[in-house]
Amino acid sequence: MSLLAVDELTLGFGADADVVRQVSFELGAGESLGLLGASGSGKSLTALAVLGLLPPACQWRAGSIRFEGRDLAGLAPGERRDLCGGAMGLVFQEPFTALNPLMTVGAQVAEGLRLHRGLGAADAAGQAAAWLDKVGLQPGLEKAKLYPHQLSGGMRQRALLAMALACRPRLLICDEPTTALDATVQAQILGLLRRLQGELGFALLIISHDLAVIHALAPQALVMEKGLVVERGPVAGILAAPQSPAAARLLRAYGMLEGDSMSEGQGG
Amino acid sequence: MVELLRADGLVKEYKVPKATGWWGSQGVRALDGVSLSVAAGETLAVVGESGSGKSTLGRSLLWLEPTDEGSVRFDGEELGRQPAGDLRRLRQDLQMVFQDPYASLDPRWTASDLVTENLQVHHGLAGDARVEAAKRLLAQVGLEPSMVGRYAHEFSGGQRQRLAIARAIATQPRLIIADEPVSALDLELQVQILDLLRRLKAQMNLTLVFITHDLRLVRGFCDRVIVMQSAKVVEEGLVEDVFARPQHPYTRELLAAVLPLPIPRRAR
Repeated sequence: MSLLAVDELTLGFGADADVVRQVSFELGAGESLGLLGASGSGKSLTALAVLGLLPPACQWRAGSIRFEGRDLAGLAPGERRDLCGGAMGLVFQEPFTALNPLMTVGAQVAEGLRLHRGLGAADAAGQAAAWLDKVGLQPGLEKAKLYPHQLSGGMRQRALLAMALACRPRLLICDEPTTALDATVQAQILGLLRRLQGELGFALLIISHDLAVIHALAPQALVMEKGLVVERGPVAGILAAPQSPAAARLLRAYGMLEGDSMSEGQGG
Repeated sequence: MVELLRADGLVKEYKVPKATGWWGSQGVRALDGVSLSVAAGETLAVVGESGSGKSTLGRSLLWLEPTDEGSVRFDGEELGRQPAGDLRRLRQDLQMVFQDPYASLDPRWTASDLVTENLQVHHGLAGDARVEAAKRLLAQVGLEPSMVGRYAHEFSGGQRQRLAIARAIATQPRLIIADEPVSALDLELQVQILDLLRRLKAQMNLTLVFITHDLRLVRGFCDRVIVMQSAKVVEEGLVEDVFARPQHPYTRELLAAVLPLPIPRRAR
């Protein structure tokens, strides 16, 4: 049984045409899957549907999502809340808007531990500091006292990762986790994600418009365009011989950006 | 090569609140003795991480933000040393495209007003003449002239950046400073916007200063590159040379952070 099974998911707004159309995929425990597409391709809405965080105006028109065998549509709101942030962690693109500016990062990591794992305040604070250490915000006990505005973009994204992972999710969804970051910080965060996944064994759904980010984290990927899955398979295969116009366009964009010498690979 | 823009020994310090305590401030240097020269017709890349001072440099080069020390000369004229009217006249030749087209364009202005504001200010263009000029500018940046009456908020991110470029080229400038003009866009749009800039540059004999943290954008697009770290220029040279033989450890670090994407040649 797969950890996450999305079957023929179809979403839309009001009287408009569907924006996510019959999207199906499965993700096994501990596996990684990339969701690749341009802005507006429906990849983020698909992830929000999995998390149960669709905007109110968005209608669930057809299809099902099963997590560990349970149909998410059939869950009571309380059960849904337990899943989101608990068994399913998430990291958004913009680490500044995703963090509460009025709470210290330590308190924000501890909040999840209290809500989802039932820890007391002191235990939660102690574990929160340990998680900050783990994501490289060291020393965790000191960094826990800082507010988001006192952190750089990369440090904020580390704090978000600590929040998401502290509740030991079995699925981590990362929506453009490094798009707002510099290249050097991006490389650090992607390395950290890889290391933590090896250590903790969570499944990873990584969403990006940047094939290089997907390539760094997932061996398999779906390519989305206008709400449809237009291609799926190993990332290496998509790179070698893209089947869909969307993937081909993306690769051409890379070629145009980087010049031909890029095909030999740059750095490690 | 004719020198168009020259900066000598730019120093800029910002006052920020002290990290500890209730009052007092400390100085943070954003520019620490930066000098550069831009030749007419070239595209100069300024690269570095967030906080390296590259955006401050961009604003200082247009004298949007006067520096504490040092001078900027455009075509031999020193900026900020002449009467305000002279600086305004020079601004027709010196334009800027900002990173975030959501923040840089007033959502309540129409496309027509936005792209021709400079023509109204500098040439007193009004009424139908202004709308006609707006239509021509929209066509020039690949937007439908019929969109001229739409409001900024009705445009997508990529279209907005085209509007910002139309606005910048309205007065037929000689130099455009583009500060991360594509980093808010997805990859395909990035390539389209770079293509547009390349085409306009050739048509209008523009000189470009291209500020970015993303080295992938530099190689196919720029002639020379300046690498900034901690408010200083640590390396400069022809793009080919710097990419092939980076001298400074920081440049090597930046190059190593470029995510590898092994695209086989036949997939191009």
